Amino acid sequence: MPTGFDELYQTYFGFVWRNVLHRGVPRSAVDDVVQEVFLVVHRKLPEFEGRAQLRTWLAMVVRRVVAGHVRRRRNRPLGELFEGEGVSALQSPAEALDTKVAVSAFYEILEAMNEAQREVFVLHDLEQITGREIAEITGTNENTVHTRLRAARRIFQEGVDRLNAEEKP
Amino acid sequence: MSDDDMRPEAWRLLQIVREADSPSELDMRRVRRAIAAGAGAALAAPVAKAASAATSNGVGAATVGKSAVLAATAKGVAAIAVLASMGAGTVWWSHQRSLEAAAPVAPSRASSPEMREPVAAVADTAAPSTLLGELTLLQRAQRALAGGAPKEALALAGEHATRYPRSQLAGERDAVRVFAECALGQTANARALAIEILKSAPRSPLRTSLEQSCAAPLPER
Repeated sequence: MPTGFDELYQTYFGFVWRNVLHRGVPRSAVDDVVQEVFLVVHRKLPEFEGRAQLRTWLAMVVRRVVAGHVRRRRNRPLGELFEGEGVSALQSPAEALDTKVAVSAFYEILEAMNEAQREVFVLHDLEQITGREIAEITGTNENTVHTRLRAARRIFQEGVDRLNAEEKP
Repeated sequence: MSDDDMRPEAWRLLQIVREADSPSELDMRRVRRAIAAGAGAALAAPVAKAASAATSNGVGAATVGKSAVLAATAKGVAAIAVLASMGAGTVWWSHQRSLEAAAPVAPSRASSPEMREPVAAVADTAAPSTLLGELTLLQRAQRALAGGAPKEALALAGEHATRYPRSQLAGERDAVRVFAECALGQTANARALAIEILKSAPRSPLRTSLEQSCAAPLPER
């Protein structure tokens, strides 16, 4: 099993990490939550019988672990997110600033969505997960997923338009 | 569902966020070590090597999450934290940037200043542990590159390769070499190196940065 786990870890670490982050876990807690996700995965992997796609199953584990984390911390899901955006030390200050601005704009717009819309939007448009898979992950049907996605995209596009309008007085 | 719901600038923003919020190889290793400690014997074997290396250089193998990391030496932790905070793929370098790298570029700032200071102090003292020494040297190379001194960056990366041939940070180090070669206009060298990096780690988070460098186009994974 270790070999299987290592391969899974290599392949899906980025997915799990981003998913945890985009579900509103503060950056300072991402390490711990990602670690918890993989500990659950490691424990349950022998029971995973391929009923779902591996990625679907992982996303479901992430969902449960993050929900538990948010409950325990009783924090707002979003908000604390900007303590240390993903900015590379090799970017020039101007590039780093651009990335910082872009990333905080993203989270700001995300806050205008409700939780269900945000979940679908991030899974579908950031992680390229299909509507059918998302329906399975979120325990709903494909139509609902698409309705939420359409609403979320409208909010996101409006947010981007608003930012553009602010930039060009 | 049609992608026309959103216009290109919205998709571009999503792309930037995806890159910026992706973990570095260092993030991946750090959490892996913590998991190994948490999962106990069942997982110990595959990471035994990494764990013993970590123990011997003073950063405890039994590091579980943030709290246990604090038990390691303060300097070591600061250095690791800064490298970890570099974000997406650790190294991020645009094609345009490498083309214009002849012009001096101010060294960029790590995102949190209070983490940065201790590292600067560490860099000036003799590095007591292997990992710390590795981090310091790699960071000097990265700063040289960011500061518009690609030749110096190459020399420092070369020194790193000689002193730490089996470094866990070999990918990051070699990426510095790629970008330095790009800055020097040595496209063929850059490409050969980038191909090597991706051959040994096809799923490396460095891939995106490498694909944006002068080494592109690179073979698919």
